[in-house]
Amino acid sequence: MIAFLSNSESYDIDESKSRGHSEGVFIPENSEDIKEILKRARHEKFQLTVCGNRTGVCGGCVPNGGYVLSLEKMDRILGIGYDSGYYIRVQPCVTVRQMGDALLTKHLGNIEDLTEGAFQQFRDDHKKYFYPIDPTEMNGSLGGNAATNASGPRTLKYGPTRNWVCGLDVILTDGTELYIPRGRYFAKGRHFDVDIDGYRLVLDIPTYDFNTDVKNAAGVYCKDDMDLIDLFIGSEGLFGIFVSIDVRIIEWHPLISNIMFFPDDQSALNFISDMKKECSPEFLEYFDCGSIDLVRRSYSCDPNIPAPPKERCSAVFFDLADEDEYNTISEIAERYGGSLDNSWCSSDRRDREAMFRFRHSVPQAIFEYVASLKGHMPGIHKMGTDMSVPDERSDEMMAYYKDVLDSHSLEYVIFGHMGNNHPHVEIILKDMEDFAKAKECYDLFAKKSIELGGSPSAEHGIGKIKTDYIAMMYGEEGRRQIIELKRKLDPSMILNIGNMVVP
Amino acid sequence: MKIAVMIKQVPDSKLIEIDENGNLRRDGVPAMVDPFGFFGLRFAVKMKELLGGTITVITMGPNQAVEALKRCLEYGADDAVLLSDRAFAGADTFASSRTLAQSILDGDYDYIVCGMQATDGDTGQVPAELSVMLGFQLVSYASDLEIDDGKLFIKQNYGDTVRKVAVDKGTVISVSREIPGERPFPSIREHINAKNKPIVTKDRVALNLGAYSTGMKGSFTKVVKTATPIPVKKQSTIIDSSDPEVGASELLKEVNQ
Repeated sequence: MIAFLSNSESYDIDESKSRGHSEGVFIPENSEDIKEILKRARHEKFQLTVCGNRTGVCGGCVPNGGYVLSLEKMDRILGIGYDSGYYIRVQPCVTVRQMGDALLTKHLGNIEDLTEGAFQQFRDDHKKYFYPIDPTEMNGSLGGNAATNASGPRTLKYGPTRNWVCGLDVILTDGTELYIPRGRYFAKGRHFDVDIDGYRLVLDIPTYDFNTDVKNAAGVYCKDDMDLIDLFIGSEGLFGIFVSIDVRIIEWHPLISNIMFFPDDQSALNFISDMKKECSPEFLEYFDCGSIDLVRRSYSCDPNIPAPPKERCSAVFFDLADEDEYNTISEIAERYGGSLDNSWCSSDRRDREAMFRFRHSVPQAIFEYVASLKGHMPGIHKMGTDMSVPDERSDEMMAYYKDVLDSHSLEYVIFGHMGNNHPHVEIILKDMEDFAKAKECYDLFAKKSIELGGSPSAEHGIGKIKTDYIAMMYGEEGRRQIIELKRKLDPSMILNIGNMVVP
Repeated sequence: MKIAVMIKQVPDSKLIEIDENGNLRRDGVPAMVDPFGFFGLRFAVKMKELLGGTITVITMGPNQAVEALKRCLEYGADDAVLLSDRAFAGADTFASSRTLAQSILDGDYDYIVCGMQATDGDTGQVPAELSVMLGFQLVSYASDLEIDDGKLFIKQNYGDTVRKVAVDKGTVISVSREIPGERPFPSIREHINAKNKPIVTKDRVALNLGAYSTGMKGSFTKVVKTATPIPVKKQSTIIDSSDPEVGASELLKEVNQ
C-alpha cells in the first residue's frame, strides 16, 4: 500500500517560494512503489513531479499539475563499499546533515557491505571521514543534490557534487531500474549505445559543449565520449528517479573557520582577490555590508545566529587547514583595512557550525522576507542571481551588477562564493513593480555572464523559473536537443515536466 | 584578583543516540566543553574585563580534555590546569569536588566560577560541594554581573525572580545561563596567542591526595546503569462541564482521588 495524501498544498512550494498546484502526493518507500506509481502515471496519463526536502530555489520540485512523488520516506543510509577509497550508498532523501553526523560518529545503523568487509573495516578504521559537498543548506537531500549537481562554498577546493557521485540507481519512466556506476558506460562522441545488464540504451545527446571552466549547473551535461552517469547528474529529474546514490567520502582533516571584517565592500573583495593568489583557503565567502546589515536586522533576537559587530562592515568567511598562513593573511588584511583582531575564529565543531549558520542566515533572511510578501503578492518569488564567471572577468561582472541595479533603483545585497567568482545578488523586492524590474535586471545579468564566458546558473540549476536561460546559453537548437533527449527517455512525458525546458 | 573556572569535557549531546535498550551511545561521539561550564568561562571573562585579574581554567579528565582547555584559553582564560590520573576515573560528584578543591587550594583563588551543572551528569552538586570544602560562600543561578562603585554585584535569575547581590572574594559562583552581549567567537589573534598560554597537568600525587580519596575508590555512589526514562502514559478523564456545578463537583472528586 503506497501512502497517498490528497491534500498536497504544502508540497506545492519550495524555497524559491514559487507555488504550483497538484492533485495529491504519493509517498513511496522503495523502488517497487516507485515503479507502481510510474505504471499508473503511464496508464492514466498523469504527470509526476519528484520532490525531496523541497530546499531547491528554482522551483524544480514545484508541480505544474499532476501529482507529487515525495521521496521523504527513502531516507536511510544503505551501505558502504571500498575500492580506491570508501563510498557510501544512500537513499535519495538522506540529508547533508544526516550524512555528516553519521560519518562523524560512525553511527551508520545496520548497513550492508557493498564490498566484502567494508563496514567492519570502516568501523575499525581510526581515521575520521567526511563528505566534502556542503551546499550550506544542511537539510538538502543528497538525491536533490545529485539531481541538480549542487555545489557550495567548498566547490573551490572539491568541485561540485558530480565529482563525488560514483554510482546511481535510477528508475526510468518505463519502470526499468538501472545501476550506473561511474566509469563503465561511455558515449562514442555524442552517441550512447550501451548494454546495461541486458537493457540496451541507445541515445543521441545534445551537441553543445557544457561549460566546465566555471561553476555551472545550467542544462544537461554533454561532452564527447562522456560517462553515462554524468548525463543523469544535474539533469533535474528529466530522465529518471534516483533511488540510491553512491558518493565518495574522504579522510577528514581539522579546519579552522574564520570570518574577517572589513570597512567596506571593495576592501573585502580586494582581500578575496589577494587571498586567491597568495593563500590556499578551503573556500572564500563574501558578505557585502548590506548582507551583514540584513543579518543584524533579521536575527538580532535569535540566539542561534551569532551577532555581527555593531559597526557597519563587510566580511569574508574562509576555512583554513594550515595555520602557518596566518602571517600572510594578516599582511593581506592590513592592506585593506582588516586585521587579525577584527575577526572571528574557531576550530571547535559547534563554533564552526554557528559560523555556517551565520553564513546561511543571509539567504534564510531573504527566503523569510519573500515568504512574508506572498500574502499580498502571490505572484512574487525570490530574485537572487546564481551566476559565475571566469576569474579574470570577476571585477567586470561585479561592477556590472552594481551599475544595473543602481540604475534600476533596486535595493540588494551581494554575498556568496567569491572564491569561484560566484556571488549571489539578492534583490530586496518591495512590490510587484520591483519584481518586474528585478526580472529585467536578471535577464541582463544572465546575458552578461554568458558573454563573459560564465554560467547564468552556477549551482541552483534551472528548475522552472530560469528556463529562458537554456536557449540563451545553448541556442534554440540546444534547447530542442534537450527536449528530444527528454522525449527519448520519457516518451510519455510524465516526469518533472517544465524543469529546465518547457516542451 | 585570581579567578578559577571549573569546566568539563562532555560528549556532544546533539550527537548522542539512544540504542534499542535505552542506553546512551557515546562511542565515536565528539567531545565538547560543557555548555554550562562555558557560560561560567564567559562570566569570568566579563569579571576580568571589569575588575582585572587572571583566569585559570581547571578540568579533571583524560589527556584529550586538553582540547577543551585550549578552547577556553582562546576565549580569554590565561592559563589552564588539567587534572589527569587513572586514579581519578569513575569519580562521583563528591570525589570530583574533592579533587577540584585540592587543585583550587593549590592556587589560592579569590573566586571560583562553575557552570550550574554539566550536561552529561546533570547533578548540579559540584558548586555546592566546592563551597563547603573550601569554606567559600555560594552564589547560584548567576546570569549577569555589574560593578557599582568598585563592588561586584551578581544577578541571580530564578526564572520568576531576579535578585542582585553584592559578592565578596571567597565565593563560588554557579552560572546558569550565558551572559548577554558577548562577542560570539575569539579573534584570529586570540586563537594564535592561546597557543603560548601554559597548560599544567597534575596527577593525584601532585595534588597531595590519598589513594582512597579520588576516583571510584573515593566515591560514595556508583553508577549502575544509565538509561532514559520510559514516559508514563497518564490516563485522562474528560469532565462534562455543560452544567458547571456538576462539572466542578466531578473535577473535585478527580482531584481528591
